[in-house]
Amino acid sequence: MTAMATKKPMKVRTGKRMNGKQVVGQTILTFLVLLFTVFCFAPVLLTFISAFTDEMTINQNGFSFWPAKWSMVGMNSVLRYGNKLFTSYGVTIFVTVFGTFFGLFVMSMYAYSISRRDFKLSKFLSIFLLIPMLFNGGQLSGYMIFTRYYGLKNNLMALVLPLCVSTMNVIILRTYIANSIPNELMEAAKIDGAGDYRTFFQITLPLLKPSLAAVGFMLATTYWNDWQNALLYISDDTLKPLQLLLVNIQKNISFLLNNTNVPASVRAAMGGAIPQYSSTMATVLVVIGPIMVVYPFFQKYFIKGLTVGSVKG
Amino acid sequence: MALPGFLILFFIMYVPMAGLVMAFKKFDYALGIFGSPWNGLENFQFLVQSWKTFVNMTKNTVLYYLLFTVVGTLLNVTLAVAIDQMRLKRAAKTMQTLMIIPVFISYAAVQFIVYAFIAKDTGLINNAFGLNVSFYSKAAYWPWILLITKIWKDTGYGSVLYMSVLAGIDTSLYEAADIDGANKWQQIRHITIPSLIPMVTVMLLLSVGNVMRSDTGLFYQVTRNNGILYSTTQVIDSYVLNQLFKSSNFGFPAATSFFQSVVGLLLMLFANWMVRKIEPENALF
Repeated sequence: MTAMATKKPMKVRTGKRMNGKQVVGQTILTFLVLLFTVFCFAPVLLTFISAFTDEMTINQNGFSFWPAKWSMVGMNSVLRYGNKLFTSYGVTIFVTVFGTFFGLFVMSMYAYSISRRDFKLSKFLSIFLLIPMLFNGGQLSGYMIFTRYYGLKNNLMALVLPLCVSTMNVIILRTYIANSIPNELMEAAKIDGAGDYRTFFQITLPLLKPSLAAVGFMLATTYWNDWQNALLYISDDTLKPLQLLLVNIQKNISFLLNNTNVPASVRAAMGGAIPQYSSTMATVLVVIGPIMVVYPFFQKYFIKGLTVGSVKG
Repeated sequence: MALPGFLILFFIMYVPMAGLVMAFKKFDYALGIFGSPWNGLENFQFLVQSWKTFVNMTKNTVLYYLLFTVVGTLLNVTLAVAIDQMRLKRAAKTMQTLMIIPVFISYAAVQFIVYAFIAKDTGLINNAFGLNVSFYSKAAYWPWILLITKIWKDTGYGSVLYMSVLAGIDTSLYEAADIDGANKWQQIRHITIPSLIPMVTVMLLLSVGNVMRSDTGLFYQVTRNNGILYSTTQVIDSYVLNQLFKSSNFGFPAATSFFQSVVGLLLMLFANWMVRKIEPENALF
């Protein structure tokens, strides 16, 4: 992967020449940052390698960056999940795509409303947005309300709704509208007779793209990685997202570890679910893989699109 | 136009706030939160009965918050400044790309990666150093394991926010400092750091409201919800999550949740008041 790229010497692109002291300083600095990069990336690399390591090798020699024997068995056994994996992928992709677009749509409209100074309710809506950041009901109350009153048990909306509007993201979008989209443009549209909706869709939304990309990607990741809501609200096999597969693998491991006297028949009944190191890592890889692939395309928007401005209205 | 967002906030965030009254009720699922009978402060008696558990998880929650916030902020800022100072811009960019990756891995997946490092027989650490440490059965190791995991996962991404501030610093400030003969350290101390302070304050303030809340995945998944480790790993959120699956008596969890929300709010108001006294510009409201 790109890990190799860091080792290549890069051209120094700067007008000024560095003196000796600065060269030493830069070398030490670069080395330290490189060290931290290795610290961050090595575990990811280990996941890749373990997924393709022979099961016996892990059992005997443990996890390693240089396994004695490679194997595709782990990867193949993941594919044996077949339908289950396929369904889970479907659920996760649906929740991620639908949730992200829905969330971005709702949040950018909210951000647009509170950024309009002439809108009477904008002050009230700003405060209404901030309060959940200071005070909230917590998991227990949320769980009871969701299941008892909204009937969201085993409903995919239980995965979509709790995450779709977040105060932080609305603030980021609002900051972008306030700082990077010229107010004159929106004023001019109004003078030309465009209503709020037309202004929003034809002027604000297109110009908001960098921020939408950054927030959207973070939101998509949140959806993709959400295991907690799934654990709480989803028990139906056909609705289980990918993260819940991982949680279940871990539960099976604990079950087997904590019950040494599990009869052979039960172990057999658990069948392919008896977790093995390489196949577990292969599953992890299958779950985190898509984000790793998509992420570099969105990175350029991060610094530009994620500026948080003053939270005050 | 704000209506959809308003409705979602109302039903998802505000209604559960009202649900906190559960702390003062004898909860019966069939009757619902609002239909269950009141029972005054009875639930809070559980809190006294299970005093040890309660104190332990509150202590853990607060200490981890402090540890993660102090170490996290320092590292985020240091890393942002370090990357910003690097002259090899392309290399800096590539390294940053690799550093951010862990933030995109869910804790449900992270726990398997942590396991690969610290498992007793197959773990990389035990094998590499010829040790035979059983990390999963000794609570004393876990503050370190969790801290390292947290640093690994969040630092790369955490620095992005500060880098966006650094990108906005007027370069003429540095040029002027150069002409005046200021060296790199002096420039960092007098230009870079001061310009980061407002953002640091905002981020700290925003996090204060969450003192009582934790990254549940870290404490529930990475520790594999292991009872032996609870003395150093149980936090309020992971406790409540456990009770949701195990318990049918929600009195104690409800009282704990109530405590969690109210203390969070008070701390937030206090912190904002403090900031307002010192530097009104940086206050949140």
